[in-house]
Order: sequence, then structure tokens, then C-alpha cells
Amino acid sequence: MSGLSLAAARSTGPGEISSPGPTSEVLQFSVIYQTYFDFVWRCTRRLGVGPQSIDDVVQEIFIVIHARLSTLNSPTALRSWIYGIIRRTVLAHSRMDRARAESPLDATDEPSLMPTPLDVAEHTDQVKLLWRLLAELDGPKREAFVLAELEEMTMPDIAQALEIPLGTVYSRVRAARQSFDAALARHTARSRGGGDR
Amino acid sequence: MTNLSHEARVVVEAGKEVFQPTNMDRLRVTQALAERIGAATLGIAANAHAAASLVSGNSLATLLKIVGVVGLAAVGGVYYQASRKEPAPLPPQVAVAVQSSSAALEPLLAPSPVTIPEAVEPAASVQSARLEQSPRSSRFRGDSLREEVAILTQAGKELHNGKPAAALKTLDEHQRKFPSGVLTQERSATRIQALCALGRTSEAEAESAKLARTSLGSPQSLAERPCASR
Repeated sequence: MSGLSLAAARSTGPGEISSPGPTSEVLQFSVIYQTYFDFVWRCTRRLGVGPQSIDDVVQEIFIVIHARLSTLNSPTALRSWIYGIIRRTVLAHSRMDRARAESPLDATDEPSLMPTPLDVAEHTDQVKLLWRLLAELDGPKREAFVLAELEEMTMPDIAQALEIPLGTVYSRVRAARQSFDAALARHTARSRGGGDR
Repeated sequence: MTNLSHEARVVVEAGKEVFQPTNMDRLRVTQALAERIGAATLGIAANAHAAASLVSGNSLATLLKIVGVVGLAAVGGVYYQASRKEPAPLPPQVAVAVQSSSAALEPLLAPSPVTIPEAVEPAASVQSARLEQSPRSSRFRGDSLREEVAILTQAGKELHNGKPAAALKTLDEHQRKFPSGVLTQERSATRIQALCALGRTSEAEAESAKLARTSLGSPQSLAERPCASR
């Protein structure tokens, strides 16, 4: 059985696992799978993996989690650790897709965090507006914003997930929120003026 | 730390429920993953009583049990095979079907693919020692669930590929074959999406109302205006 030694796995909120706790036990892969399946699926889709590939990519992510679980000695923020794996797996998948299509690598080589056109067509006006506003943020700000606002991750968790300094996370999220608000204000002004095209 | 304005917060809230996996998504991935890393690793119990909890359950834990039941199709054969001295040759279609499921039982097995003759019952002693129920009935239940999953997966793909009419035909096939199947709620949910995509709003609303009556978890707003929420 794959697992890692944790002081304890205790619930800190809906579907959340954190450590350490008072007693020693092994956090099993099956528990992580059940607890974080929705998170992995959601983040993978948000990182731009479409319906055609999502099953394969989510499987790969859990296989990596399974393989690396024994090396995780101090999982103080399991979710951010998992997000790091999601991010790297999605990037690897994107690179393979681009290689297959023989298209040049993206300059930033960062996850797009933007939906496919099919995804956009399926959702409500409010969700479409969200994506339009997110599209106005640059990639790093967008990712920090999504983790902070949509996934409600803490700043230290985001820092760990993105492997950047905590101060950078604070400034990035602050700037992203300001840009998001400004983009919404512009959208509202355009709508009132009838120029929302 | 700057906070979002109220208006921005409303927009963000709308995006929180986007991209949630469906039960079908969970089931499909869990089944595939079980074949790759082993059912036991995923905490799947090959439990004969799991099917009883399928219809009302929505959690991944319950779905793991579904996969456990599906995996039973292989369990009987695996234990039967383990009790034999020599592997028997198989018809190719049986070999393929069992090979895919047997991978879910890696912790229990030798790595080579296991094959069984479908018509032969497992030995009684092995059966009573290792399984809680008849492998034959498990196999039938597992096969039927596997077919349900295959049909609904096909319908989902057709829907995603912009072919809602084809998806409806596939869903009709599921309804014909499994009028009281395990995945009737998933069938209804997919049918609603297909009807909405075809602009058949009143039929979608009727289906949605029916689903809401049989599914405790359906929001009333979705039942009333299913196409508006998409």
C-alpha cells in the first residue's frame, strides 16, 4: 500500500486534508484519491486540458502522485503539492501536443488557464464574462488569481504550489485583483454605452 | 491585501462550480486508473454488496465501489485461474475483456494477463474461500455495468463533439437495454444536455423535472430552467 507517514491526516474543511496532527498514521493514496479527485479534475480543466484528453491527463497526475507519495516527508500543504504535480503534468501534456502538431513552443511555456471555445459555448453569460476578464490578465497573474479566488488557496499554499516567494504571491494576487476589477469596470462601462462587442 | 469589489466577487462566484467532474467522469477515470495501478491501491473493495448503494450514492467513494463491482467480472476468473495448473486457451474476445479488468487486481496477481473460459464456473472451494458471492452473478452484474458505462461514455463523447442528436439515439439505446439501470440518473442528465443543445427546451424541462423528483441532490432552479443554466 502506498502511503506516507504523517503525524495525522485531519480534516480542516470540506474535502481537505492537512497535517500534522497528534497521532501517527499513514495517509493512504486511496484517501488522497477520493479527497482530491474533484480538485485535480477541476484544475486540470482550468489549465486548458480539453474533454478529449482530460481522462488521460488526470490518470497521469494520479499515477505521479502515487509514485511520489513515499518521497513526501512533510506534507504541510498537500493541496499545493498536488497542484504542483497537476501543473507540471499539464505542461508536459501541452508540450507533447505541440510537438505532435509540430507547432512552435509557447514563448512563456506556462499553462493557459483559459477554456477551449467549446467550453465557453457551454456556459452561462456570467461564466463567459469571468473568462473574458481573466483573459485580460497576464499568465502569472491569472494563475495566482485563479488559485486565490476560485480555489481559495492560502497565500503560502500558492507560493508552494507555484514555487515562488511568498512576497511575490502577495504582490501578484494584489495586482491581479486590481486588474480584474479594472477590467470589469471597463466591461460595465462598455455595456452601458452599448459598445460591448 | 486588496479585496475584490462586490461586482467582481459575484462574477468569480459564478466560476467556482465550473469544470466539476460528473459521476460518469469519476467512474470512467477510476475504472481506467484501477486497470493501471491496481484496484486495491485505489481503495476499491471487491464487495458483493456495493451495487445496492449505487443508485442513491453520489460520492467518489460510492463510485469506487461501482468499479469494485465491475472488477468482480475479473475476480471470479482470476481466482479460478489461480486454482488451475494450466492456463486454458480462450476465444479472443473473452481474453480481451478479462485482460482489461484483471489489471485492476495487480496486487493479487502475477503480472501476466489472466484469461478464463467464460463458460466455465470457478471452483467452488476457491469461490467460497475468496468471494462473498457467486462469481457468475458478479460477472453478469459487472458486464452489465461495464456496458452501461460504455454506452453513456459514447453518448457523452457525441455530445461533446457537437452531435446531440446522435447522443440522444445512444441514450435511447441505454434506456432500451437498461430501463432500470444503475446509471439512469447519469442518462437523464446527459439527455437534458442533449435536448438543450437541440433547442428542445420543453422536453429538457420535463426530463429535468423527472430527474429532480428522483434525485435528491438536484437544485430546484436547474429543474425549472435546465437550458438556461448551461
